[in-house]
Amino acid sequence: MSALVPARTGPLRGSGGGATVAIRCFGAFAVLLVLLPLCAPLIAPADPNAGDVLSVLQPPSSQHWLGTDASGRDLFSRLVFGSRTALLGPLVVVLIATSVGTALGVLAAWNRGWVDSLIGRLFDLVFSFPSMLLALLFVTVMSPGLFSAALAVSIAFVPAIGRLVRSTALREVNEPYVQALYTQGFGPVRLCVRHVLPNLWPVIVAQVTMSFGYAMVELAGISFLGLGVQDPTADWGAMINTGQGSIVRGFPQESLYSGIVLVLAVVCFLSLGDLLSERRDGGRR
Amino acid sequence: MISQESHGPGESHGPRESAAGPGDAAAPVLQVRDLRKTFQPRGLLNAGQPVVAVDGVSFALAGGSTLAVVGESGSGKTTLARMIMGLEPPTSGSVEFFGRAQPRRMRTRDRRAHARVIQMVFQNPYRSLDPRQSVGAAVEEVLRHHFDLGRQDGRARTAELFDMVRLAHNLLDALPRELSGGQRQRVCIARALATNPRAIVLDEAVAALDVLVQAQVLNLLADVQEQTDVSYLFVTHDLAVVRQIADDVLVMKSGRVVEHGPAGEVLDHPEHPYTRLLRDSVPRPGWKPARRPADDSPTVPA
Repeated sequence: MSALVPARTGPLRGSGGGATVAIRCFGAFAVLLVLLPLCAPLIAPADPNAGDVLSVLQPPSSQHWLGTDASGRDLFSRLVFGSRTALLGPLVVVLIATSVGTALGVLAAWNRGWVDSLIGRLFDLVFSFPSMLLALLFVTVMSPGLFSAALAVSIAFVPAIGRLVRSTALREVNEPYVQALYTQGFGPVRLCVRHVLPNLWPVIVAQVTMSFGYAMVELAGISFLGLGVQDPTADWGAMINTGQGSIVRGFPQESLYSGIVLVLAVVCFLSLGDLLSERRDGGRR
Repeated sequence: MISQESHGPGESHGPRESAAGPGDAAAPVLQVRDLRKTFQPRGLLNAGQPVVAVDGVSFALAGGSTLAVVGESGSGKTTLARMIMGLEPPTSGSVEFFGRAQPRRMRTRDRRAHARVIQMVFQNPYRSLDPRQSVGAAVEEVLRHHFDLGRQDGRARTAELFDMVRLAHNLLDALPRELSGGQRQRVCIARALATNPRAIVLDEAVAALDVLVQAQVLNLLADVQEQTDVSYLFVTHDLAVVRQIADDVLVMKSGRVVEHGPAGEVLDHPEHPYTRLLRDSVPRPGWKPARRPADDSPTVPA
């Protein structure tokens, strides 16, 4: 599994015009990916869980556009419905990890001193755990499923977001405008929420987009190991796993197609995050 | 226009109750007693001698007057200003407003009261405004934080403050990056005036501006002082500015006060060699640095 790295600081783009077009393209694709699970029942031609023992491992046909799997379920419908867990999982991860990471990062940057040290050590502690190991732990303690997997990945992602937010917030907090507001008698909470956070927003958005892609890979990996989304629920990661058995029988479709959509989706979110962070670095003051 | 009940700086000059609570009206706006600040250099083993930034500084700032604090970089003048503003806790000594000591560690409530007495204008006008907030909103936010003003009154009072610092009303909705350095510094002055303070600390407030804009801002400050009777603590290294604006001057070197007195006297007849050195390093017509004797070394005993 790829290590979670903070949004790369890209080179400064001359005009940013090319980057904007690319951001729009990837952005449009990301919107499509988000619409897919919402409109799944409208798009999918068949019930993703309805098996038919008489038509297992069918090649693509007019009835089954991408063929069927080993249980005779329509692969295209399963891919469409699989987008639900594939996107819901990272969404949960990003929501939890970003809110916790941002809160801790700003708290550390604002208070410094022992609060900063404590939060820093906490991040080190979590960071030293591979997220897969953490997921195994959670799945053992709770039960296999999307939620426990997402919770484990969320916790694993907190340090990366928290550290990025802390370092950016540290720079922001030392800006004279924050000190000016401080001397005007504004409370720390209001100051952070109304002034510091909005100025961190571009950094957070870029990091969130990237984390979304990484979370997708992590969760797919966990589902591939059979610890995340459980059969019969369609999920891209789980489908790569269940499709393995058919590969040797000459039907690589299930693993192949779910692998392709997974890669496309991840590349889209990672590139989008990368481009956004580049634009942020280039456009700063 | 604003109703008479709201406390705007335009209406209520003269004697007013100190926002910091019961204070002595006859006492100086700001009294600093034996203020000290040492920084402990951070190392692995906390090694290193503590650095003394400010060493036993005392002075008083009378209502409606201007005190200039001059000194070279590293003389402790900015640290002094930061301690007065509560941005840095002093190691020892006290800061009093109207005879009332400022707590060493200030809570939000203390800071709010403090903000009503003293305000600060920072050196860098490019960074002392929130880049995401329109300059009008920045001033209005401070106004509405300190005074019970509705949206309408807040807007009106902001516009009045813009008039006071001679900024056009069409700049109210502008973002800081759309303004020039001089305009931004005027916004910062308007924002400082928003709490109706009795004193303003200006930390190198005109140093980043070109000479023409500098003169405009200095004139503006003089006019504001005439209208509101506010006191200025002017932190600067520019003696030309001191001569133009200050009543008294305090010369700092290595954290200590080496000379303190009326501006004209100190500048015309400096007693301390360091003051003389500072004065002589100001370029002026007829200044010929080459004429200075070779043995006039720039290192001066404290």
